[in-house]
Amino acid sequence: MSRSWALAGLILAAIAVSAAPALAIEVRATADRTEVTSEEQIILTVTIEGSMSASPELPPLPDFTVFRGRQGTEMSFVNGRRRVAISYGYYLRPLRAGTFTIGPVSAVIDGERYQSEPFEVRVLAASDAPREERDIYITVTVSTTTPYVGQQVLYVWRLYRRIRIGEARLDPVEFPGFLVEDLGQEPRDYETVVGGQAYLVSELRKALFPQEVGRLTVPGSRLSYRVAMRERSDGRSLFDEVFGTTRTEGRVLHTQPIELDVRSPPPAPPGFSGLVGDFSVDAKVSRRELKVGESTTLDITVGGTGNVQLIAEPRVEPLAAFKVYDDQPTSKVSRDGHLLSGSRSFHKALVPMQSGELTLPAAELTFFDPEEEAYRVARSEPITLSVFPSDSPEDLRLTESLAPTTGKVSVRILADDILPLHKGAEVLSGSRFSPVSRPWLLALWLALPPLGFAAHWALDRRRRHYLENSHLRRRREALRRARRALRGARSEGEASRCLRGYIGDKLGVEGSALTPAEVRAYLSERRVSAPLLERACSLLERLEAAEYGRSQQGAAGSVDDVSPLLADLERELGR
Amino acid sequence: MRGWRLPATGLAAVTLVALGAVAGEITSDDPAELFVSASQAYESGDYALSIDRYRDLLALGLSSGHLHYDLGNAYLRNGELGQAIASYLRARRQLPRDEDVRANLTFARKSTKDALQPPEPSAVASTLFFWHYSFSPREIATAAVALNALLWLCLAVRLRRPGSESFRWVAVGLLLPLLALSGSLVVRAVMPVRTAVVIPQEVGATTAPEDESVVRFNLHAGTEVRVRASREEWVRVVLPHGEQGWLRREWVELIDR
Repeated sequence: MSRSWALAGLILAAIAVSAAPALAIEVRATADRTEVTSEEQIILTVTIEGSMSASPELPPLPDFTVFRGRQGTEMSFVNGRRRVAISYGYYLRPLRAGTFTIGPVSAVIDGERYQSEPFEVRVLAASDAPREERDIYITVTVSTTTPYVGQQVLYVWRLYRRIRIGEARLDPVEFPGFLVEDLGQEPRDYETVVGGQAYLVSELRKALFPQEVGRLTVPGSRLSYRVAMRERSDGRSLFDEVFGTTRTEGRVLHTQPIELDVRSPPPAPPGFSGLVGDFSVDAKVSRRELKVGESTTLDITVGGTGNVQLIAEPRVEPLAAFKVYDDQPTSKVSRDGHLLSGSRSFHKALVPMQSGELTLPAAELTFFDPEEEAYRVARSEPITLSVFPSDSPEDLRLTESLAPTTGKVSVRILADDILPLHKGAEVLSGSRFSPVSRPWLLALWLALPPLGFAAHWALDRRRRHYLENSHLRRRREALRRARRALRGARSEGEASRCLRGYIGDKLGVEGSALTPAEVRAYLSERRVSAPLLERACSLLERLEAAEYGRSQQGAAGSVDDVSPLLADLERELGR
Repeated sequence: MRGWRLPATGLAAVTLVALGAVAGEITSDDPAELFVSASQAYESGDYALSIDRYRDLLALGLSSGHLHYDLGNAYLRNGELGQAIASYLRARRQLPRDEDVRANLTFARKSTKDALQPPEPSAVASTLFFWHYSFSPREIATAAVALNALLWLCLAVRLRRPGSESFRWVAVGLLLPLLALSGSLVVRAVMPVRTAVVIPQEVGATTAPEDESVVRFNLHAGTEVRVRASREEWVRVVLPHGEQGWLRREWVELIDR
């Protein structure tokens, strides 16, 4: 009984829900805070009451980056009236400080547009708070704001924090107008003390080489992260302290762009290498005493700070007394130091061609020193070699003296171009209408051999059938054989045998023993016409009579009658 | 179209080139004259005239791989990258093993703007089915016709000499390559691999075959993309990583591999 009542109650409640009048339609937009710093975010909640299907349309928010948040629905009864609402959450991250208007947020419901009330939010600059009092902040420094073109500018990005953060993400920073070299493994973490507070620091270092004269901007950076926040409770208790819940909140840190005034160096002297920085040149040889034809290796090393990737071979006066074989240069780049530095060594195998005291002149490199704001020339020390006459009558022993790789240079493609025209007769040799250019033509060509094979097979089968069937062969060759025999017949008897042989071949019986009566019977069976039958039997009787001498009367001309009779019989008996 | 004989025409062309005949207004449709004119216009730097002459030769029914190669050179010199690559691809279809065609096609491809790999068969496929990729359709068709004739001739001889075992094995030996060649021809006819070469400097591939639809990505002159489907005025192309879009047919040259 009680179950029945409960079921009835549920049905009534469902009817009441569906039948209850809904509250009025309304669109509301609210924010969790209306005053934030540029490093914080605002949670905007748009609530649409009275519709479960409408979606909000946000106004343009050029001063914020907008991310979609949670979405929820709610249904309740207020004074017997049904209330349905759907809420949409958005995260607004400020892009700059100032006072901004949020709204109105609108939604179209049943063809009618509803709008929320606009409201203002105030975004404070992050720097308004003293840095020492902050739990987390970023600094960006550059070594100079007035560099020369090509001068190394040290860019250092540091994140200071004394709270635990998670999901930190630094947006990639592009440096338009600069060559960029990373310095060290990134990021480098260490601890430091600022204003009596211990901070954990994450540091990124890059070497920037401005490539244009004038105003260049080192863009600002943007770090997003999440920080854990303990939920506040009005009645703080021991339980709250120990088991209080925490939530994470997304935040953003910005750094400001830095303007650089890139200067042009003074007019360059002849032989300027293009390097900007501080460089030195060193030269050494593997042996200073050798004989004519032997070799020594000259290593010229250019090292220093600056864009070492651009180091080219320094100038050396022509070494007329030597045969010179260049080897591949080797480079070392150091990214772990304070600045980008390194060296490049140029190796030459020198083979003296004359004896005596031979001097290797100094190698020179002209570069621009931004610290002194002047061009400088770095020189190596000249090197004197003692070259003795060769023991061998040969002047040079190149094979023995050269290192395995000495003298080999990689083949470089100096220029590239297309290969020339084809001018031969082959250009005009192709016709679109070749025997295989059309599918149907190709099918025909492919079908011809099997068709020929089929015809050949049919003929061959017929031939074999003919050879294997002696009766058929006898029947078909009867007339030819009879006529051949008739041509040699010299008597009525021979003519009679020709005729009987023919009839025998045609009928498939032994012809030589046929009597006129048997001939009549056989021909009658084959439905030979009566006149022809009479003619054949009569002729046969006459020939036999003549042969056996019973009557010579009427025998004259009988032999001549055989041939026409054979032709008439062939027509009626067929092949 | 007037009739002409291939060997005589070829000799005439070579002779005229050797004598240095002067290129000028060509009114006749003699292939030899057109060819000489095209070559000399090319050598003198008048690439537009050279292109016209080579196209006239194509209109006469000539379609050799060497002719497409020369036309590709003229297009490339004239700055028409898309047409040049299309011509080289047509030349390669007929001269798949020609080093010059391969070199110039590689050279032209270096000038394309889009960093897309041209649609080419995999190394495994081109090794396993080498005859399909290393021989032109005409070569394969000619070989198939010859093998087919030999096969049936062998069978006919065996019919006369039933006891001959050697002819049976020869027939089997002919049948296998014939099946391979026939398979290649059938695949080309039933499932042709079609490439679209972009001709204008830049075109937008749309999400649907309509001018008003959203442009998904831009392609530039000379870019080769595989054709997935085609409609009256549009072709559906697919990029190597699977993105698809529609291009107007007039923007591309379609080449069957």
